[in-house]
Amino acid sequence: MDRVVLDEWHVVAALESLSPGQEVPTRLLGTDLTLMRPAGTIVAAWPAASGKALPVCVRHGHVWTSLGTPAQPLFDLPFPVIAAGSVSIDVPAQQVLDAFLDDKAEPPHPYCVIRGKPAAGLFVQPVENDRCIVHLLARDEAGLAAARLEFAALKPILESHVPEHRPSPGMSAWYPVASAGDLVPRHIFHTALAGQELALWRDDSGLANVWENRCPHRGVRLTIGENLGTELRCQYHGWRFSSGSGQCVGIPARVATYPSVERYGLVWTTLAGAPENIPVFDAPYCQPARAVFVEAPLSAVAAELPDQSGLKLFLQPVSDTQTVIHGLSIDPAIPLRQHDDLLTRLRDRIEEGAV
Amino acid sequence: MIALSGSSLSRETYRIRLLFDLAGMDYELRDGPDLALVADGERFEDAWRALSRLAPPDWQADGRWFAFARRLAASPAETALFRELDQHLWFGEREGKPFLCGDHPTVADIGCFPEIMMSDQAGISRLPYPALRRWTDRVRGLPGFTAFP
Repeated sequence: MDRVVLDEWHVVAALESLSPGQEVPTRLLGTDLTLMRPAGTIVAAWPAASGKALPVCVRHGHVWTSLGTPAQPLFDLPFPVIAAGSVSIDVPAQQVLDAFLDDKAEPPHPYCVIRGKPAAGLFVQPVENDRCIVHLLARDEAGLAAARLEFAALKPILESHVPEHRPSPGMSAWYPVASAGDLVPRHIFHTALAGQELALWRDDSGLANVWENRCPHRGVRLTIGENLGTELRCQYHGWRFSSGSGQCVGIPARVATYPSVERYGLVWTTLAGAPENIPVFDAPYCQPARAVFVEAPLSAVAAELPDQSGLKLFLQPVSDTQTVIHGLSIDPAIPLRQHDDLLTRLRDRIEEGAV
Repeated sequence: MIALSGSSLSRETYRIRLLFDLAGMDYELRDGPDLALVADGERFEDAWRALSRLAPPDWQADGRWFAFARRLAASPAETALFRELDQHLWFGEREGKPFLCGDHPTVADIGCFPEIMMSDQAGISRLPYPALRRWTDRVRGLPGFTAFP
């Protein structure tokens, strides 16, 4: 377990959910805990296995504890909040936070999202790797129902979208992952290769970066960050990573980077560090058609590829069930719309067959 | 003077606020449970009617894409609509039309924006729609833009 996470204050209950005198079990970062509220706002917490008291702090309507030694007192909030209910959800804490973080949010705590009225946000209790408890917040009594409604609507969606990263064997090939033209200035392009999410961005000097789509700090997606021209800024805690190396500015951390080669108007990469083996062909004219996303595995797409003159086709396995067809027009006489019609019809046919 | 009241968590209120903020129109905002809008003595309860009636001339959209925005709002989990929009925007980028109806934003862009930005809540990832993601960058970069609360 990461020391920083252990030493953090973590929410473990809404104060009002603890009846005086009663022992209440809960779980934090894979450890069973017991909570007890002798009276008023006095609360004790200890690991069920050892009985040794943990640090406790009661604030913001909730009980906080730590499995390590918190370096700082618990954060302040800009306004008072009240507990609006707690929900257990079979989704990693980070994914819940991702879903609720908006563009401008600067959370005071890594497991906290604070928003405007009437739903004031949430505290997330990391129970274990793939489960968390969400403690909803409201600003006042009137906001309680809205906070619950909002979360109730989102919960099933969150639960149905646990990303399954299963890198396939034999991933030593190089694949196209974007058109060169997709990487417009100051943009962060979002794609995936064999289940590995990627964040692609072009720096102001023109260099195309292919990075794992995860900030090494808290695992937040970099694609919701900002392309500053020479660095990529994670929108969560503002860590900045240098173009080229992926090195964090001022902090010893690095984003996982992949090789990036631009050829034939496409951006190519490999996940396995294989020597470059981009297909070689001779084309005096070469123009990327619109990449077409197909809800079908690569094998199903490959089996249907037409032998089309004027168009070269390359496949990007996005996941086990999704594939992107990258078309390269090599005949200037054929308009891109015509290739697009062909590829979208092909997509529709493949998807019908896959059902 | 325009008086707008509505829930700050409602997409309908946000759509109208976006128009006012982006087009630089003066308005007064109050938090309330239902959308209510009074502009120059006229009362609007339908956000779409308000959008098309109150938009200044250069924010007016062509009928096709305004109707598209209404369809998207009615069916925010319909992937066929996301595909249609992504394709339209990809070709638009090549024809010097970065917005839905051409070279400048209109109420069609505003109409689509809340559903696109909140597509995750409808279970739709924006990963398969690169041109759509670039368009959201452009909308967010417009002067006066305000994020959903």
